[in-house]
Amino acid sequence: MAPRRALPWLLVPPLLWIGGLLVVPQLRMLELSFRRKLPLAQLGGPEDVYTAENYLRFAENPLYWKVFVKTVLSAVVITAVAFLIAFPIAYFLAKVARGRWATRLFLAIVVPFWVNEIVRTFAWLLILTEQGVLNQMLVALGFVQTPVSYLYTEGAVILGMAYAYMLFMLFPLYASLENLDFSLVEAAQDLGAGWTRVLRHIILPHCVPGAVAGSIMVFMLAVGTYVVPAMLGGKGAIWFVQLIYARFYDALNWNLGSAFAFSLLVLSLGFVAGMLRLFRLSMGRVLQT
Amino acid sequence: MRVTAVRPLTLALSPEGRGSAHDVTCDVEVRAVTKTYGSLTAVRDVTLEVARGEFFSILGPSGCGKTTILRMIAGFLEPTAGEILIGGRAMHGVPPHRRPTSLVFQHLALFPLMTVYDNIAFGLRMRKAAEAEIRRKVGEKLELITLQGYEAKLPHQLSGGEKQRVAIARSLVIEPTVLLLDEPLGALDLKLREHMKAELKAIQHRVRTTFIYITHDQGEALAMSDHVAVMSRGRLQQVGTPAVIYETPRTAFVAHFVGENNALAGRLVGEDGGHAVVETAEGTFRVGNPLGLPVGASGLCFVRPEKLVFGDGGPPGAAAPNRLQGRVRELYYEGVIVKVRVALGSGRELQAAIPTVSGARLPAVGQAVGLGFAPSEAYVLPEEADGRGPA
Repeated sequence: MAPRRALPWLLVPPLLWIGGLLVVPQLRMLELSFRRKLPLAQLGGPEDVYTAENYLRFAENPLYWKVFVKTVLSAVVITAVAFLIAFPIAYFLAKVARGRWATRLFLAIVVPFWVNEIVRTFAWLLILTEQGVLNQMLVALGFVQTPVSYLYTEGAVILGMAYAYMLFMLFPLYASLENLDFSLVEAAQDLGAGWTRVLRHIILPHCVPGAVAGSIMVFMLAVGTYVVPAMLGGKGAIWFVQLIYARFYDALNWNLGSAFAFSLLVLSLGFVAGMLRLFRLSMGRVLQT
Repeated sequence: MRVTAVRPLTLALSPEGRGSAHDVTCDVEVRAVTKTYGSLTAVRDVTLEVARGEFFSILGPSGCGKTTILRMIAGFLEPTAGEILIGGRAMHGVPPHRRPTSLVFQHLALFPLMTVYDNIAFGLRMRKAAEAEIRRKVGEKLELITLQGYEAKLPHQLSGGEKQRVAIARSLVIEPTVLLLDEPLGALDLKLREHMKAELKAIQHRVRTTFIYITHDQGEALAMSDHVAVMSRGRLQQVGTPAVIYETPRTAFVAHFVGENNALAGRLVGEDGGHAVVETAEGTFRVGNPLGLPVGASGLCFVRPEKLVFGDGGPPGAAAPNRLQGRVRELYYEGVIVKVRVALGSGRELQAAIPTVSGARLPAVGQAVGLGFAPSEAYVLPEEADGRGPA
């Protein structure tokens, strides 16, 4: 069969995958979100009409709103923290480490991520609890007298998530730093730029596409995660996804849950569009990194 | 054999010696500089002086240490031993951005996300110059490189030659004491390279900044430079004007590397009126002995293709020419000259060159020919210590 003729057939599995598992369920959820939660008997009855009620409930209730906004802001902070952690590591891996050491470092960073996310989050639990590693260390060093519990706070969730999604920032940053021609750095130094200005004028502008790609991924994951806030946040740091979860499983109100989920989806897409516009990048350029 | 950077004292053909170098202020002094990487010595005990405002080339094959020297002058590398002075000031420990040098990189390293204007303005902005001053100076430099109207273009929109000129302008705008150029013409095609050679020299004449130019292309080095330093394997071989380097090489390496040369291995058997008598497999010749090799020493006799004269009469004016007999193997028409490959009786081949002046009679392939050269046009040099024989 000629390659050209084979192409439509090759497209069938991905299209089935995307259509059947992504587009159709999402459309079903979109439909659900515009309908009322009704007892089984009334389904299809006069009450069963399309309405924006669920979205209005979301907009009217300040509790929902606050959690929503807080989730978004926290996700932004997590993205920033992930960038601050990942950037020096990516720079070191791409431009400083050589040969065997680069490989070893890569392994050291990647190996923890072979472990399941829940298990990794448990590790943070062990670090942050009252009898945890962090407290033992601080007490031993005399910084604190009595152990403090860092768990179930915003800080714990942000730290845990920044770590959980750091790799998604690291790899695109590494890719863009890797192809940074080091003679550009030297040229800037030669023309009178010290390190901070080399960073600002040469290195950071160069890795904007990588940083945006990484930020989009980390933000999306952070805004939509359930595991880390549930484990590290407890009742102290409620995440919007937990509200969605509660609508679906506790209140069994799929319609309201769908409306929440859709609001989150629209927001996430808005974030991506905003980032791209802010840095004047096209999606294609970002996907390349 | 150890060749130091002593300048030749008898310069038969040089228009000007280096004797005046000390009268002029030295812009760059490299004093006994050595650079080692572990067990590898990239640069070994090199001493150089570059006078103010001159076009100075460092010529050598890749891996000879010339780029290492340049990077040490620019401040990206520190010498393992020895010191570098720029404008009389010791540069040890001074980072690149505090040195009065500016480097034009091999691949130019124009900032890809900045316009031509921003590229050229970069150095001035780093010096916190006023915006009006920046505009004026960038304008001047754009005029110098005749790229007015290119301010808003991005590097990828420029041709090779234009990028070249922008890189030079970007380096010159900060008014460095010394402009360092790391084989900047390497990536250009032949025609453009010829053009840029002239352009570079013209720019240097206009700005009068000291240029230190790194190249492996002897044509570039000879054509553009006031002085050339030839390097091989981390060592300085010879420093001199292009004419001195070409006409009176002091080492077998320089004789081979700069221009084309014929080398005949032999042994000194005597002396005759200031010339050495060298016995080779191809005959016994009287040649110059610039290094004063003693009788009994072995060496290489060098004679350049254009110094070989066809015909049995020998070169006009030469009292006692050296003679060779051979047969024409091949002719290569090269425009300005015709190269002739002549096989000698011993089987060795020599290159000869005949200028294509009108009426010149060219020998035919297969024809038996006589060749002659004047003792003053040839010289004997010791073989290199590592046994590097005739190329």
